[in-house]
Amino acid sequence: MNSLKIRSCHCSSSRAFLALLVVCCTAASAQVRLDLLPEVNQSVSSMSLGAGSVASLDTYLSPSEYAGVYIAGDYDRVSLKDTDGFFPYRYLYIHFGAGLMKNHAGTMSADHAMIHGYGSWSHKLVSNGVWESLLGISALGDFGGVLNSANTNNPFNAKFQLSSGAIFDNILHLRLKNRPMAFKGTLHLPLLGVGFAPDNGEFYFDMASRGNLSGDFHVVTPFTAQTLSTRFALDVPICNQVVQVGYCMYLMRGKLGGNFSGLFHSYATVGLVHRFEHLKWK
Amino acid sequence: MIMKVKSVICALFIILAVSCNPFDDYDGGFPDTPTGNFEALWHIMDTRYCYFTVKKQQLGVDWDEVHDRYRQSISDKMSYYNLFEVLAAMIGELQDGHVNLYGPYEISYNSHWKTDSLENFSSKVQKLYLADDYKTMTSGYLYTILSDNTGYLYISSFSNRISASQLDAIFSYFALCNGLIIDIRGNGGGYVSVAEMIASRFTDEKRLIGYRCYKTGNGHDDFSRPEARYIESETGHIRWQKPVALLTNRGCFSAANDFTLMMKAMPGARQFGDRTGGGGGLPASSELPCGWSVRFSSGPTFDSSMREIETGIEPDEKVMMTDNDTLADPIIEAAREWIASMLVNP
Repeated sequence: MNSLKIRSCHCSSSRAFLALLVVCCTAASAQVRLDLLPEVNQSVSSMSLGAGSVASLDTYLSPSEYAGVYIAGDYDRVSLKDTDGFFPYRYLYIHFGAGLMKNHAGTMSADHAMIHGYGSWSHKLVSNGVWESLLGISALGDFGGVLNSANTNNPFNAKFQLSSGAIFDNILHLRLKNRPMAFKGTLHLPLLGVGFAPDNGEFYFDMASRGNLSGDFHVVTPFTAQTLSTRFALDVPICNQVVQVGYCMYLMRGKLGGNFSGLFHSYATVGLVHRFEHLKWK
Repeated sequence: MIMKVKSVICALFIILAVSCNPFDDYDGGFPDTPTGNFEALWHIMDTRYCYFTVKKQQLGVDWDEVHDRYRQSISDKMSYYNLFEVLAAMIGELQDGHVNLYGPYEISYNSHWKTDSLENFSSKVQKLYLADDYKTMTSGYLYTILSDNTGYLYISSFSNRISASQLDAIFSYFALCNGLIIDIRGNGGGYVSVAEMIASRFTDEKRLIGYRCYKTGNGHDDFSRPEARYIESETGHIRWQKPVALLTNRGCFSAANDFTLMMKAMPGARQFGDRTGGGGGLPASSELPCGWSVRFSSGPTFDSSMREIETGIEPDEKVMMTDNDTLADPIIEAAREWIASMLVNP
């Protein structure tokens, strides 16, 4: 693309000199035009819906474990930008989910809802056309809550966490009967952040009337609370679309503010993949 | 290729590791057996109930001794019906109206706080004052103007919501009265927010009404630093600045006890009748492995002098009503006399 082919000609030296001048001028002008070409940023995004299971143990609300069904909607987008930079890959993942749970005895129910998302900047470790391995840093935000009908006087506990961590991606490019497919695996580990949790038996009623939540935010590290999320997805071309089937899992557990809080959901997803290129004119 | 296989195996290992019960290592659970449920209930109360010190002083309750005594009645072969009886009796030792066990057959309940004194209220006698032309705004709110131009508002429960505009209508009706009697006798509580909303109509400035703590650990006396509670003036709505008499008896519990606490902080208010029933603890709930719910007091409340209000709030003027009081309510009459005296000597 960047080269300019020159047909050789067997003419006189003067014609050859003239031809050389023309070529030099043409080459110079061609170089200018190449500089003006746009930079191509490649992006692959997917939107999917999923269903699976959820389990929760939140001793602020109840000492009993709750389990039930979970529905989710996921959006993710991988962009390849600034290919010469140290972090050429940008990743955005947003998750919406809601669960309906029961205790083991089936007498009480709890509802859980959350928005979970992170963005990451990844460095290419391996890229050989078949396998890409990326390692990056991430910024994560978790917002949600659990509503427990068993706890009539103080039925709600909010979930909130902002943290940074590490993300490890592997993409395997496969072919099945000449059909290109991609298998992706993502492991995300938040390492340092801040999380919200009521202090032991503190009431939300009192928090609201006091208007001061400063004592309810805690430093979150793997020693105080462990969060882990993984995603596996297989992109399969079907007709004119690329369909993604996947499996996601999220685990958050820890003891903040004197109460143990654990949340685990896993679900299978089906969605569509969109691949597009963004031209960035210089 | 080996690297690829390794990374896939690694990922699968992580999935398997966490796909098992991720909370198995949390050792706070008890098995769903009669013994497990007994221990769970005793442990929940032991770590989260807030009035063990008060109950030890008042009733001599030693929670460890209670455990040992009731444990002898528990067997894994007993029926859950019998288990409920034993568990209800165990928490009944605390004689706290905020302590209940909710089972599939019944709800355990303690009414000792209101049955150890005269009732000090008669609905028959009250009808003599309400007559037939009393007004009602929403369920549980009855009001009228007495013959001496004193307003009378009876609130039977704070479980019934009332809007700001409805309160405006009531206070507009009383606008020309010399004073107001608020009768909350027999009011077993409800929403503290409703009590606050009504009480905020009686102050023109932010007032300290008391303090509240919450549990910060498993020890019986592990409490947070007392947090001051204030009540704000209700701006933009009708406020009552004339004398107000509050009538109470032992039936005033929980949010009604809290309402009394708030009204005691108001400059133009005076409490008549008997001591309130108490219920100063902010209730919370938990559950047993078998799915039964348990409610208990988890956060103690104090008045502005840091006095405990779990055992009730003493009136400014103690007036008792006997069975012989069939033609007039001495508590209402005492309140009317005070309001009349405030007209002469405010």
